[in-house]
Amino acid sequence: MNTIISNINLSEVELKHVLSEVKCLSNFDFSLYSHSFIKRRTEYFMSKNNIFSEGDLIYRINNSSALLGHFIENVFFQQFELFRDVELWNYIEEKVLPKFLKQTEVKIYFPYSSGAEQLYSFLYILNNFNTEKFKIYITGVTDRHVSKIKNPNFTKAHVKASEKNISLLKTALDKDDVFFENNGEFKVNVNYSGNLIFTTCDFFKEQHFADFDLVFFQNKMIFFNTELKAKSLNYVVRSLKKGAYLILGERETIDKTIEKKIKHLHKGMSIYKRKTFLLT
Amino acid sequence: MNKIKYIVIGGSAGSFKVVTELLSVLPKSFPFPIILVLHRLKYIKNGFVEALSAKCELPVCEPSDKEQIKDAQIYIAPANYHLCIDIDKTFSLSVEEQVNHSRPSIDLTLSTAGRSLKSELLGVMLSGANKDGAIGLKHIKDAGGYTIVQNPEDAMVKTMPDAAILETNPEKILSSQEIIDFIINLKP
Repeated sequence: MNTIISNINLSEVELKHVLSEVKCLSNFDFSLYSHSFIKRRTEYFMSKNNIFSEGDLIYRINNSSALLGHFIENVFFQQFELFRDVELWNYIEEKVLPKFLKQTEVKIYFPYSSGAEQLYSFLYILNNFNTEKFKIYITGVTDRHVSKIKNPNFTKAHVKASEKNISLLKTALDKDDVFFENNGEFKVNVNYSGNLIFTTCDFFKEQHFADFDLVFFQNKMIFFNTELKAKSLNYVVRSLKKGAYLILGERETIDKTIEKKIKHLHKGMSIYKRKTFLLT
Repeated sequence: MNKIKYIVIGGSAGSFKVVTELLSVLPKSFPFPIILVLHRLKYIKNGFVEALSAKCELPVCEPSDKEQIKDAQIYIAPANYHLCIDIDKTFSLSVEEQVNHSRPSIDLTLSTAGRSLKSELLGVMLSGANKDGAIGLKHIKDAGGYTIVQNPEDAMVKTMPDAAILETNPEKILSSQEIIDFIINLKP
């Protein structure tokens, strides 16, 4: 069945067994992910691969590192459109990027990336600016993700989902400016001459980067439970320079502790600015 | 019928009128949360909550991620997000692929609500032009929840009720007015 809803219904204990085995084999701890999300992605993976019991899944990932890799990749699915929340991209182009005009270096960060949509959406917006001074850091969850982000393939469905967004951008672009077809797949038509630094980094485990002017962390926290959400947001806020910008997903919220550190800039958009001093 | 504590309603073309009629007659003292998942355009983000609030005495909102489900509140699935219900009775949003060409998908909300809220859940399927919601309603029934489908003859578009009836064999098949009466007469 080609849908993320599966007829498989793992019990709590079965799901725990699977996640514990994945952690042993790969060091990825999904136990702090949103329960309904990780359960659904696991059941979907099982359904796609004709695996009908947790025991069978555990046996097969133990005997195939490729299948284990696919499991992890399946959890960090690719998102489905460029320029999602198009009004936000227009705001970044009109209100945020001009603030950097006087800086000699601008550091941008896409942490915990599994797909290429946000990066390439940003690169198109950036086309109207002097790109030489921009240093863009993209950290992928695994090597496979980094490789996919460097050389992304999009499907016809991606193109269709992105088409209306493109038409609503303030920057004059059309679908053919963004995508070109190559053997039935679609590539992005981006011509970017600035610095792009790709690396693998799970920021829950490793020292992460800092001093950024703008950080994109849209729709990532929705996959975590409350504990991991707070932890990830703390990391991300710490990576911002004072006065720097943070982009979250439209329906993602921040808690009171974080509210002391960042200021919400625009009603209806999840764009925040790190405060230059902390309220006590 | 078990003690119902949560209500989830799915619908698409032709369902908006039924939903606004229901919301307009709900008394201020209505104790249960109602979660609405209606197909909507992803680019139109404003106006939907306001339109549903206009004649409703209970608060209407689009939930944020990880928000706890509260009694006596109307929730509407936000545009371009799937709305899921977690086992700790919180909302969990997702930007995963569309299901039945839809995000929010009725199937996904109903299915996760059924598996999390089990026998405390009433699932209702209204008028609509595709089959989204049929599998989700079945998951509600399989998990011990109570299911109602709008009578296809009463629905403005009967594809969705027909599919839900075929998939689920619901406890009740009712007209829109009977569904409204059933819900407002639920007792805590």
